[in-house]
Amino acid sequence: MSGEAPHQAGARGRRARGRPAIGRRALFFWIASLVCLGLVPAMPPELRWVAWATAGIGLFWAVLLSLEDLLTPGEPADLRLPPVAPDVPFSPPPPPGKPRD
Amino acid sequence: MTPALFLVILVALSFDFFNGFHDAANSIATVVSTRVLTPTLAVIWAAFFNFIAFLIFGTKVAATIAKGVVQPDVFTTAVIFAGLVGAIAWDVFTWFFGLPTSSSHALIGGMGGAAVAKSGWGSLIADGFRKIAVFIVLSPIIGLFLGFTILVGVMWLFHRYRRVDRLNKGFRRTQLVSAAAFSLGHGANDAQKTMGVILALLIGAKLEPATASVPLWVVLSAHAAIGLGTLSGGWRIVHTRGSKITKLQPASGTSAETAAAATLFLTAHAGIPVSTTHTITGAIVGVGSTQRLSAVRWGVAGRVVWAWLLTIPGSFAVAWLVYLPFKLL
Repeated sequence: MSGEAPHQAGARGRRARGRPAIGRRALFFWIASLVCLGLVPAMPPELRWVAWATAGIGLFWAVLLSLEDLLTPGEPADLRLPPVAPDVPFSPPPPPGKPRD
Repeated sequence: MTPALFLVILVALSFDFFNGFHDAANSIATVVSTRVLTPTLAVIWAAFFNFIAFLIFGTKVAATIAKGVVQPDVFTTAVIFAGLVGAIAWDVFTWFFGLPTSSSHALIGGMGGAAVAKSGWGSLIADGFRKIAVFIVLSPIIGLFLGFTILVGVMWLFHRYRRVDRLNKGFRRTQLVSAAAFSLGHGANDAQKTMGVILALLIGAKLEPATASVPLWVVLSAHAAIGLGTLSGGWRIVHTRGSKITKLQPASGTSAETAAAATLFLTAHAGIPVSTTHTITGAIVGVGSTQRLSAVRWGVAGRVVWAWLLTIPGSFAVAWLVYLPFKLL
């Protein structure tokens, strides 16, 4: 459930690409949960439990998703060597009369 | 009952009728897209549960609209008329220009705008407006978190089950229940807004005391209007919207509808008017988030945020303008 292709997944891969260690989804859940917490003071006292409960559910998933992102090592994209392309696809054929190496 | 009052009640019921016409798609689009029911049967299914919602839920949302947003003594036939025209005009304007909107928020903004035009800012009940404003933001988030939680729970329960076709068949059946639950929530929430408007009219015309509860004929006519609206035109929108969300599987559709229905039950019980469209959108975003964030149509989610910002001020301004001629008379 990391939300990225397998070769890009994990905290190391994201750090290597200059992105935060946790993924966008975890970040989204953190922000939505904080919005709920921010609404608590504006709620009528008898309904504050709704905002607390919603924030609680959101924080639960935000923590789990963040842990999943942080504990998935992945492979840093920058450490993988790009494939080396030869100058020519095949070595040129020897001149006529000469044997191949 | 004066002809003017009768006419404004008809306008309120028309607002309810078009609400059913337009929002039926929310409750049954997934049932249609997964071919559990034909569009016609799905619409009848939704209309039935829209109508019987009054037997299950009280009329707290109606009481909030009638007595909790604007001081009841400010209401006159002209104020309610201007409020309704403001809400309907804003809905039509935004529909024409393709802007996002919510009929529920438009109604509240319209009532507020007309009341302020008549008696100034003191006519608004700050606590009522604040409660509604908070739940405008909170209800889609509740739907989102519940949708995510329910679908992850379903995944945990059934991830070892190998007979996927049988599982899908089972979830198709549960979709009938979840769609019915969402239709109940829709009927309980949206029909009650119209009940609140009519109750406010009756109180304003001194036909009912300020402490009155919603008369039975108002309850029945509001539920009949929303049910008839669902029956008469909803299937066209269902067809379009159902085909737009074909990526929802039976399990995710059931989870989204259950989450949205739970949110609507909660808010109806607490007497808070919320947007059913925003709630189901939040729930669909929640179930989409179990896959990956790019699976979510963020355009739709962004439109919800724009609707939060635009609808109440927009309908407020239109209703304020509509009421001005009445003030000059």
